[in-house]
Amino acid sequence: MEHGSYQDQSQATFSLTDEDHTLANSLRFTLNQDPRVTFCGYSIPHPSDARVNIRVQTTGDPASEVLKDSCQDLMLICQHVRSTFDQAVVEFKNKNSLDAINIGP
Amino acid sequence: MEEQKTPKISVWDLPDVPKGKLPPHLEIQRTRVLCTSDAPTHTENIRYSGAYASMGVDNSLQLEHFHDNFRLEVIRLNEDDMEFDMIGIDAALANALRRILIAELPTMAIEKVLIANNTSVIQDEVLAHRLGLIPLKVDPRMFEYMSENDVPNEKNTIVFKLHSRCERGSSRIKVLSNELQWLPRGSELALSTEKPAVDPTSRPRTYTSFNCSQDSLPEFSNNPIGPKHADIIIAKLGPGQEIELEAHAVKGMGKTHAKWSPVATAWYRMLPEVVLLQEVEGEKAEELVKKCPVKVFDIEDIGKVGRKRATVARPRSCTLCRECIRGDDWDKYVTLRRVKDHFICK
Repeated sequence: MEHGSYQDQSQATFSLTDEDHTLANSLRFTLNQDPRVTFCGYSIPHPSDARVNIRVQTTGDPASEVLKDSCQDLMLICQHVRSTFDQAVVEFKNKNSLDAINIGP
Repeated sequence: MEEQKTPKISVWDLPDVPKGKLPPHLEIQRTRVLCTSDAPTHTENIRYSGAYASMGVDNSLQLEHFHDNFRLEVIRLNEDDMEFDMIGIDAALANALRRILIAELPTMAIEKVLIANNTSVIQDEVLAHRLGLIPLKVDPRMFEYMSENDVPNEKNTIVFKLHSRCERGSSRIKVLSNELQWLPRGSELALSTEKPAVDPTSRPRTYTSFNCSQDSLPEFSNNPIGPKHADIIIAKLGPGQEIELEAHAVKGMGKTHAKWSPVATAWYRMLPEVVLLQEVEGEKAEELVKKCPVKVFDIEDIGKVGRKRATVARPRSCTLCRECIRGDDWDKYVTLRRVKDHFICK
């Protein structure tokens, strides 16, 4: 859900249901990295209902576009983390099995 | 007389000022948390892309920059626990990972318990609660979620049976978790609303409707499903007491109930950095080494004179107890800092 105005597309508040700090803090982080963003923040109106309000103000670009771009960035970051993690685990296992072979008689 | 006018250059263009980088004290502010004796300072992350714009430093996080800098090292990996380091990532993402690990990874746990007979001292609901907390050794990706309207079938339910009695005249027995038997063909308790079947050869309808036995699935045919640890005490029975029940396990997430959380716990901390501001020699060095309870400092002999000097040997094990900066004057010798983008995760 987006609260904004049709005249001024550059600022809007997005209200997401069934979300909490897990997604909102990471989105806020990637939004901050975007140079088109002048202000961004999130708030949780009440901890008992799982609703998050994300506020985005940009330097002219429509706020929904900027939000979508930062979601894509977040996905790419997570994919990179995942592949690096898999690689690191494989390397660790190889290194350990090598050590076991070397230590053996 | 003409005055020679020196061309006006801004101070940032002077040849000895490094361009594109922050002066060292600001760099420390941006990337390290200073832990003084009162409280940690500079804890916020200045990740706003326009910060430091007046100095010509671009603080925004480009993806290529992240790809180049991000490193992940596994320190320890066992079947049950793991410790790894993430370098170059921000606190928001590390926290999101931790929250997802605890709350949003699916596992299987016992949800419904159909009790046929319980004459033990443990109440029905307490017994059901204990059964729900038992960890099961099964891959949750092979099962689907079950919602309210679904019929329990072999794709979303695992059925266990527990039948244990203590004979009269024997001493007390413990009911351990390895007495939970897996029933690959589904529930054996008949639905109570069923009228006696006209056809004696048809199977009575039970609480679950398994179309095929779970045994026939290739993953389960050689490793049966069971609890992860065989020695969990479920209940204790005295002579003459009996428990007979059937338990159904379904897939769920830690968000709804902690029994579905796959990790015992997951936590992270930032890499500590211990910096000696001045040389610490002689007696002071001995004192410093003795002060630290986790032996972060070490003595190193310099030169032939045999003077001792303290060095930082194991900064990673520093627990930030601040013993080394307590007392007068130690502030001038030691500072404690934390690296803001290096996380040790366990």
